[in-house]
Amino acid sequence: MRRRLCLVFTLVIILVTMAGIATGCNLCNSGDVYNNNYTVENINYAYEAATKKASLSSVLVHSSVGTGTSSGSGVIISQDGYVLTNDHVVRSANSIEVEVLQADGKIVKYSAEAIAEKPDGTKYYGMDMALIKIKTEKGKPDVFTPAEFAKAEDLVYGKSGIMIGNPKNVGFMVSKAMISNPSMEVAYPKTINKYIALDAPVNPGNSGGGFYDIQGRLLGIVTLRQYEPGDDNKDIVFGIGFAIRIDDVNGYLARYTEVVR
Amino acid sequence: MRNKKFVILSLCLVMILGILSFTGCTKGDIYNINIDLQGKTMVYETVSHKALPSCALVRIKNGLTEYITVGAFVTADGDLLIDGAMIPADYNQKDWSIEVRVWQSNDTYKSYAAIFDNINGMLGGVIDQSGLAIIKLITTDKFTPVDIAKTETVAMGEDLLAVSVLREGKSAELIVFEGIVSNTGFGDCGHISTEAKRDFEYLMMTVGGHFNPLSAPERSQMHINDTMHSRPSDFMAVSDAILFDLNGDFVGFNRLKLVDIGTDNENIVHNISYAVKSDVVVHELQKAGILKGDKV
Repeated sequence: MRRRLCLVFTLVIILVTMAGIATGCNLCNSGDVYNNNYTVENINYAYEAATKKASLSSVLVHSSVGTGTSSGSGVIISQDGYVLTNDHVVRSANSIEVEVLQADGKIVKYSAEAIAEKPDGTKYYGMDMALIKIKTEKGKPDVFTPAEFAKAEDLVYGKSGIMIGNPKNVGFMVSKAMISNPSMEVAYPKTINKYIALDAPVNPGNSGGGFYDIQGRLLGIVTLRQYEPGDDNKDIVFGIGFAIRIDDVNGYLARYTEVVR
Repeated sequence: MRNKKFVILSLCLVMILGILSFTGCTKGDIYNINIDLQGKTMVYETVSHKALPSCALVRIKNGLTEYITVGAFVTADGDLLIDGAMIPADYNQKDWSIEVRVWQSNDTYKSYAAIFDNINGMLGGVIDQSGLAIIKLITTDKFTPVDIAKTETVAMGEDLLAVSVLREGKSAELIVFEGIVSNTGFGDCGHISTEAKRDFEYLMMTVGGHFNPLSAPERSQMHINDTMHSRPSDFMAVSDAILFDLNGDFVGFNRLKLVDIGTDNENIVHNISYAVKSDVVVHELQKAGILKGDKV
């Protein structure tokens, strides 16, 4: 009897202590951020860890249009290889090729096709989005790593994260990005829509790529940037990009529940 | 016997875990404390929520002519600090209206009318030397003034949060972005007199980040010329932003960015901006009787 009591008593103490530790850690993590302090290693590793996760769901997209080619980026959204990108990346494409980054660092190329109707911006939820499907060998379908989606509530001022894409077609590139404004009105493509304004170096080729939070969860699809059209350098704009919000991504994908599992 | 050993071992384990948990939670030296991976990346979110209620989007309008900038509350009574260069030379209350949109914590805005007028005898409300100005909101509502940090606590390489405005088509919004203290002074920009350089060192610090040009009244060119003495105004563009340190305290008012006016992209300038130091702001506001106390 005494032995049992001892055992129960010990187990209770362990459980209580573990609960205390968990609570203590939560307080440390979510408490007063003004008083938190940081190690350089942790800061660097936060971005590295987010990149490791998010890069597995990031792809480079190359489209043949007429006699030319255009390049952009995309995000894998299902294990069987559906990829979300911008409509303007694959619009009127004769053929589409994607490059997928694997966990071992190897890049594998696949052919892909636009699914369902040809996207044209107005028909598809009014946003610049398109869905393509990676073609895999029959009987030996590859398994892809889909992006984990964040929630619309995560879109807040000052949230830091990363952007992965193919700027200037130089290959997989990751950049830091911060939410400058979670809901900025932009007249694009044809009507006024709300986008995430980003403090990030968005370049041609980043289109269709993912903007992820520091846990590697998808917050939006990088789509356009602000620029100064004049030829006077004094008005040149740096570091202002726009991404389609994750709630609009969900709204768009809701149209494809029959194909996207 | 076996149970005794088990109990002792368990208690030891509990004690070790307890000690570890306390160690992890202790707050002390800035460089030696570990936090979770998100700590640094969350700080801008938190600072944004502290900073944004103290900032406002300002529209200065006369018919189709409109200038948009950002302001910071320096008192709870609606004294808003803005860039004096944004006030048109022909400003008068009859022709020009000033609308101020104040950010609310639930991501909504409340609008107020404001006036720019002589304050305590200051010429046109412009705060002497700094080039900054005060506009006054016409309301009895109370606001959240910025907490002001002393310039001497600002260090080279320190992270900043900048609050500015972004115009996109017909809409304009407050935005936040990262900045850094590039130099606590004006740096060696050359081509200026020793006297002017001494003035700039007193007035300004150099910051980096995605500070972009804002459309400003013509007068701003003259105004910048006046403020910057012999430095050619063409090489500066108005680029207003309120700067906060990572405690959410106001450390400066960015007014200008270095630009290249040529058409050759080879000379594009990136990441060199100039902010009026918070000490100068406090000093001038105290001189004007807007702020009381002996903070600086």
